[in-house]
Amino acid sequence: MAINNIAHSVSAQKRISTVVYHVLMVLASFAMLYPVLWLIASSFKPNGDIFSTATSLIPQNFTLEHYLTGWKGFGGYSFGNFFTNSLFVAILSSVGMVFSSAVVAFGLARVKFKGRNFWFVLMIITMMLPGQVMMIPRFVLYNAMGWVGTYAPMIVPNFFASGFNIFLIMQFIRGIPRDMDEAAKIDGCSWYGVFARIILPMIVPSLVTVGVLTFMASWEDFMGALLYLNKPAMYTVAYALKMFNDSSMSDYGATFAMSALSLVPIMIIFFFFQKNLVEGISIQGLKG
Amino acid sequence: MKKNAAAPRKLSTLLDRDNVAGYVFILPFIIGVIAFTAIPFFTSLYLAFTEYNVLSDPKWVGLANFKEMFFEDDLFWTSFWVTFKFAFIQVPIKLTVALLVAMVLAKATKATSFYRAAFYIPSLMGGSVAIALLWKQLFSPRGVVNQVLGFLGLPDDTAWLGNPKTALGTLIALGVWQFGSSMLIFLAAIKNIPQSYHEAAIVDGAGPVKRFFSITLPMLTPIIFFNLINQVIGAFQAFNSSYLITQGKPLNTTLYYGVHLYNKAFDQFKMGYGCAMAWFMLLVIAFFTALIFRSSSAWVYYESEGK
Amino acid sequence: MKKKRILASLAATMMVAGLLAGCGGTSSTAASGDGTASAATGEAADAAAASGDSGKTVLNVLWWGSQTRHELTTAMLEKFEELNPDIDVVMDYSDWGGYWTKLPAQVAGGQTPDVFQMDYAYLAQYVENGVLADLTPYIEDGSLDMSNVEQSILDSGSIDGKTYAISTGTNAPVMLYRKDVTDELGIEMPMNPTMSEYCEISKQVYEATGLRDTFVTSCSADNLRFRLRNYGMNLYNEDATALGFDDPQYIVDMWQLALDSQNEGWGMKPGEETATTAFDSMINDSWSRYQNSNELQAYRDATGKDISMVMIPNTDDATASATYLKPAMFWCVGADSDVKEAAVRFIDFFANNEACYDIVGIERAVPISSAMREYVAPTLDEVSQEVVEFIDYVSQPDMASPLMNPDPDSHTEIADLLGQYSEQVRYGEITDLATTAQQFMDEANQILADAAASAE
Repeated sequence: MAINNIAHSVSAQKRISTVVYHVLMVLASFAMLYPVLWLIASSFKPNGDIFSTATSLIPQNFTLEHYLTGWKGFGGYSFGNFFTNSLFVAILSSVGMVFSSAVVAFGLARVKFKGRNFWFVLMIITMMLPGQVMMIPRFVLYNAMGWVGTYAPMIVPNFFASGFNIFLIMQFIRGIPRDMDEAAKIDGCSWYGVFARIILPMIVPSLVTVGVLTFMASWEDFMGALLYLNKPAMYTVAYALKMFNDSSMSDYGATFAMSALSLVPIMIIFFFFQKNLVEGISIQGLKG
Repeated sequence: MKKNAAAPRKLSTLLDRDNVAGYVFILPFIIGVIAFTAIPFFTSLYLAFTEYNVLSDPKWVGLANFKEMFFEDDLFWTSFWVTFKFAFIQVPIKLTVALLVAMVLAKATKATSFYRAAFYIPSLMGGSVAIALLWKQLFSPRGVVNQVLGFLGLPDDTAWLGNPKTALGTLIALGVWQFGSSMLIFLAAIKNIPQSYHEAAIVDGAGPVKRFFSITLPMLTPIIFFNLINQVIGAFQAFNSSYLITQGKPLNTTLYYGVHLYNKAFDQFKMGYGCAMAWFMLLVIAFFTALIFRSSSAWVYYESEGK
Repeated sequence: MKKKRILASLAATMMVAGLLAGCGGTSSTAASGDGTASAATGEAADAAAASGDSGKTVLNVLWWGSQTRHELTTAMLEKFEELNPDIDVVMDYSDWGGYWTKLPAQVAGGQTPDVFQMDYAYLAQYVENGVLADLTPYIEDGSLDMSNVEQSILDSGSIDGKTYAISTGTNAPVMLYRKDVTDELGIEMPMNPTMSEYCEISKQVYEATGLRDTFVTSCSADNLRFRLRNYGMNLYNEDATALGFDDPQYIVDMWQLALDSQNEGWGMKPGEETATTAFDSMINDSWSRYQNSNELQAYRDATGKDISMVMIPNTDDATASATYLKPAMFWCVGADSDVKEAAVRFIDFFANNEACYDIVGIERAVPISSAMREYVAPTLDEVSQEVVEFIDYVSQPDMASPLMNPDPDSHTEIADLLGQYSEQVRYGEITDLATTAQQFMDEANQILADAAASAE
């Protein structure tokens, strides 16, 4: 909490600790950011230089070539196309996940119904089985449903909540005192009213978190695209990124260039999120 | 508590009964479980008792997979202990770092929003090809890490990923470095603590340290609990870093359970064996999760239930 | 061939009927009669409808590769459609790693593509499980014209006398090396080196530049295979029921050479590679590397160095060559495909049509048809011509050893096992090489025997 009350700090000691704090933070930030800087630097180096000058962050022979060849994509489908597909999948997935998880979390956290423990335990168990062994049975299932070749397997399940996100939002709801919803119930508010008017506004930070994490997971998911999409026009960024490298041919420059570009949407979402996080809550605090 | 028995039988009243409303709320989850999870889930259980190479139909073999796992496959136990070590070292370090950084960056200023982004970005890079290459680059004998150590006058010729003593530690460092998601969840939780609590405490003359231990930390326990469960499950299922960077080498010191499972199921075409491994891991995870749940009544504080 | 897939039917029967109704597929197909078949037909119908011309035959083609291959293959398939207006090709592709998850999933779901790429390492597996269609009848009736293709190439895609896969082109394992380094040191690299010549050059290069060897120290199954080939043997016996050799000395020799090279400094010690990829290994760590002949271009591009190639070194008392010509990859037809005729037409186009090679060149290695090889050679760039010349050189009598049977299913497991032991040897964890080699052979034979028994 070293930056608390910076404005009020008058003592020299405090000023020094502020300086120390910022120096440490900048150093730490550089260490944390190093991979991105490396990625971006490498994306501007010719292929022959990427690994021979790997420890240098400044390209000696600056080139934009990787962005041009990378963006071109494959067989007439550019990365612009793949970006649109990824955005479509990721946005729908996050929206579906936020709403369904919030609703389910409220039910499990607040309403005392018969069988609640059973469903809670079941939800936790669904988090535990490694995805790899579910992959083939899942494919068989979606195939039987006629969903292979569509985005449905990558989007629709998100509208039915996931254990991880339900549990996360539940923990936030359980941190909210019951007095308000009890008062509202006495005033004649239904459970639905309590959810919509009292709880929902108070869990905005957790909803945004779920949204960002789901967006990210969906954005990075290449397995879904690999298994369920079967036309190049439908490919997503995460999947397309894999195709610059093969056992016999590798274009690391293009991989890095497009990887760097693919970080942009998630970064925008993140910045948007943290603004929302900061403002959303201080208002809640006042209302409470 | 609330009994609506006397109320007229209007639909809205019916829907508001606890036993009805509860199910209405969790309906999406129930549908999801039945439609998308139940069948693959039980199929994988069935497959655990079969020999299945994916290309042909599974053949029932009873407990043979489990027998091979426990008594014949040395790498099964090797990978089991590697994963154990990995989980029990990485999870506490990662959560502590995430919590500390979240605390330091809780206050919103221009500078902190930059720092937050910087600390979160490594997590954005996930398990991509780029990150695998970078990590090898950083920790290679002539990599940046050794250059920095040499600059500081320390020994600078360690082959971090090639030395059986340091390889797992290096991968744990990668995991800790991607603490962004946990940090994000902590940040959201810190922001969810009503400002009035802090204001009241300040009026009472509590300093920042006292406020941390009497307000922030207790209010965060539900989220610490969540992150703990989530990270433990995640660590037991760890896969990417070993698969992409070391492939279990050197001398199997980084052979995660998930990687061994994957090798068996997809490289050696033993999907049945892979499913058996997965279900054994499920039991192990369930055991530890249950332990953490049991302990939670002693240290997790719920504002809604704890008074 | 018509398998009833338990998994598929399990899923299908448990499905809500309404969901299936949405697919609208009712016509029965050559595939199984359960729910999957109707879903698969529904898919094909969808695809046909999407093309806007339901009268055409829809041909699903799947391959792995990288950007260049995707570009070239797309253009080539468009040309094929142009020449065959009754066929509508639906293309799908992936990277190499993903392919071996994607294809099994499609097979398990009863969605095997009509035409797809296959690798030599997986061929036996897919044939044994009845996934691939027998192409022999099409070759016999001439619809798949193999008249300009050598028998040995056809054999490489055949099992038990039936041809299931047609090679896309011919490749050879080669030793890539840094010609810029050897030139500077005034070393002439022999085209067909012996092991001691190779080791001697390795030492000279190491002393002058610090670059080490990664070939003799790799101690992989491939490495052992080269050694066995030198004495006319293979890793496995004819029907893959046991290892193809019974003297542990071959393994001991391989390990001993690796240990000697490590101790003398010119062999890479385990874990000391500074490289992050095979490409920068050729820049920072090593001066030579075992790869396939078609990868020359990629190595030149990625390293920016003058890389050249020679044959794999032979042991000094070798009676046969370690080098062999092999199929780079195959085209196969799905056993359950409804459009085998169209699928065969495509493979025939790929094997024999000049229009195809105008577009793809030798991207899938040197053409199998002698006519196409002659046709394509003058059109190629310098590096590609070098590759074709190399293949021609190795194709001379007695230069290469014959291709042997494809590896059995359990090859991955056995290769992993050898890798485990080799690693321990190289780290000095194991010092009794003879006993360990025998132990590996016993375990490997056990794996093969078990696999043979369960296949009964």
